[in-house]
Amino acid sequence: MSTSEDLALLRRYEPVFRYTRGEGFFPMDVAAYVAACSLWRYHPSEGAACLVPRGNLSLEDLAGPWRGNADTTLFLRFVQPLDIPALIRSLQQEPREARAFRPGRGRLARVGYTSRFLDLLFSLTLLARGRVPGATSAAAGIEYRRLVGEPDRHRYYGRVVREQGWTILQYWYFYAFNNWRTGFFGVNDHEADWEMACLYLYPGEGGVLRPEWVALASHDYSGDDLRRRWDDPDVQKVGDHPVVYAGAGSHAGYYEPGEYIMEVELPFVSPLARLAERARDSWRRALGGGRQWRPYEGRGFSLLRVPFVDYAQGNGLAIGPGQERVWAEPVLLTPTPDWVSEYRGLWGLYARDPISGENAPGGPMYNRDGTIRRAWYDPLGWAGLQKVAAPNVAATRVAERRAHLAERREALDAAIAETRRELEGVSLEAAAIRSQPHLLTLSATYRERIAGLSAELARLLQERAAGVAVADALEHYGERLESGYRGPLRAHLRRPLKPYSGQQLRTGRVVEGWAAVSVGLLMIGTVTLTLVYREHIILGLAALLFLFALVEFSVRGRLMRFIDTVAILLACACGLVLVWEFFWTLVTVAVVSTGAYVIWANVRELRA
Amino acid sequence: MTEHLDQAPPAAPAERGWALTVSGLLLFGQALLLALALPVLAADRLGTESATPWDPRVGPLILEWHRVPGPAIDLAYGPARVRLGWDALSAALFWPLVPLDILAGSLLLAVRRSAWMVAVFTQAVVLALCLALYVTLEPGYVYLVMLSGVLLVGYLNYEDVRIVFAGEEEEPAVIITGEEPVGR
Repeated sequence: MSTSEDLALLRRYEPVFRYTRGEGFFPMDVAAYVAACSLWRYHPSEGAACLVPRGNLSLEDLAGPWRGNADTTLFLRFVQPLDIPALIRSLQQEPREARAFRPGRGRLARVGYTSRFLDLLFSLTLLARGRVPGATSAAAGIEYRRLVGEPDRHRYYGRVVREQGWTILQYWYFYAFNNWRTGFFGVNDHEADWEMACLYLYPGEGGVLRPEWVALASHDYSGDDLRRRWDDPDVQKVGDHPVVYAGAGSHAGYYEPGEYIMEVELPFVSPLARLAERARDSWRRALGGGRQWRPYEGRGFSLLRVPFVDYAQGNGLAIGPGQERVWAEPVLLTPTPDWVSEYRGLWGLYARDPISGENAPGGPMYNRDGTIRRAWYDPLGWAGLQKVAAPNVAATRVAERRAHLAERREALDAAIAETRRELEGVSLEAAAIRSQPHLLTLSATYRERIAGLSAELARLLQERAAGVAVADALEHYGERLESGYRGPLRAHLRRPLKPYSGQQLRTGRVVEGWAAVSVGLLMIGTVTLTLVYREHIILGLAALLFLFALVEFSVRGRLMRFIDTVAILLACACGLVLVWEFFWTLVTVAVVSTGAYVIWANVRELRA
Repeated sequence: MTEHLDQAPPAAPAERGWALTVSGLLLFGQALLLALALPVLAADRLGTESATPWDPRVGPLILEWHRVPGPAIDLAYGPARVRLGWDALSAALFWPLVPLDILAGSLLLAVRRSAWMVAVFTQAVVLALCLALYVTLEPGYVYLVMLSGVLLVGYLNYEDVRIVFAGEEEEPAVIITGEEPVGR
């Protein structure tokens, strides 16, 4: 297909983006951004050195001879943090809509003490690890508004890939800044942000391309859960244009408007989190007989992760066909331009953050470490579609598989007949030598051969039976596909992203207030106890923790869950006491009970 | 199964499973244990091998309350005399829980929604009292009460029991790991 046809295809299905009120950064032209940047190289022993100063850099220059080695990191630098007077001025001049954001219920009100305490640690780690300075977001906002002017020109970068019968449309969006942390109480800030939406089309009747799947880049999500089928009610559309709800500041893509809870796992508590999850699973398995424990699932949050809310309210600016702002002419990334393929550095400030959340991302083609993004080299696998046949070839694939199964069944029939003959022969030989004392050793070998052949025959028969069942099911499924059936709508989803429902967000002001002050109060209480009640500090701390837990669960209306947890803990403690006091008695009872059970089971078998 | 994400999960079965029946019966058993712990202790110490405390031929059971040196009750029953100290008298602390146990057991066997709450609350109090007595007076009967409490908490948290009294499940959150995705 020609470039113009690819462009026309991209434009026909280009998404509509809906932002949250208060969003400060929108998709922009990368050429303007790069022109406002300087290019830097960082080396651990030499520090950061400017290679190209601001004003002298162009998009084409990125493809220049900027090769680093394993130790060096190339990065762009967009803005310098503002000093305090400039920051105050910028806040005064900030557009009104940038201050219009209204968060929903506080994220800390949705989680427990451990997560609140970890949140405190997470905030403290920002001081220790590298981070984007606080006033950078304001500076980036000023610079962004200066670059794009009014009205904004919003551009995307399109890529068309043809693979495995699919035509894949990738829409890449570049944002000058991700201010999720400073603007929307989120996880991180970083200069530059690349986001992506992907459409998967197949040739329908008359070879006309028809969309079948949509996949939106969203945080760490990957695989099947990323995509929705075109006819899924979750995929909202304006004509032929899918609607994407962008997270405020994070710019992650969502299908539905709402508030999404994201959890961050701190590296230093990961082993503890795994341990806690294993203990919880064991408890559930022990009492649930290995079945899924649904009713007692409770909150989906982990005890040892920090929750953040990604606000994708969709009540702000909308960009796309028929919206208040429209897309400028897109830039095609096929064939891949040099600034995409040759520049492996970061697209913004390298904050030297070991957790990477504050470092700028790589380009559309590369990860931060210079490796190629999966979304780029394997767009099907990125959305879990590598195993899905396009609808136009599905019936053919079914016929191919049925032919393959038929061939396999014939081969199995031959193998089964051969194995039966061999087994019968070997059994006859074994019978013949059984009463010969001088062939006793050989007899043992025969027994092993008979056992091996019997197992092989059973395996072949089992495979044949399964093959016949699969072929029958395939025949039935093929007929359904030919009659227009496209498979179950959401069978591929395992843990789909869903916004928090109104019912789940129904936490009162009391809960929010308590969540805001509880950790601080607990810390003050602990210090006070240590100072004035040192001789009974353990008892005092236990009482304090109990009191705080009681208040917490009470204000949340989950007093019963608290009492149950307390009962379980007390039962564990009492269990330990019993084991401690009656260890040998318990051992004796266990042995006697087991013996009695064995006798009972054996006698029952005799009487059966 | 995920094909029907929009549909509400099937309602939990309301019939009484074996675990629920065992829990109910255990609660009645515990009530009996708590109610009889002190009388049995008293009878045992009085040496009831010759006569029962209710035997009219021996005469009435005489109780005398002592406060010094510590709370105690002197029992006189015919020729037998015994002083019950705090360790035995502490069994009376469980008496207020007996009606709760009976109530919880009855509600549980009738599969009433409030049963689980009453039962768990009672067990929390029973076990807390047991632990407190264990670290202070260490009375012998407390181990049996502990055992009944531990068994009951286990049964009350057994899936077949929980599922009957279950509430709603919340949506899981997404975990952000260290891997680099598009858009971080």
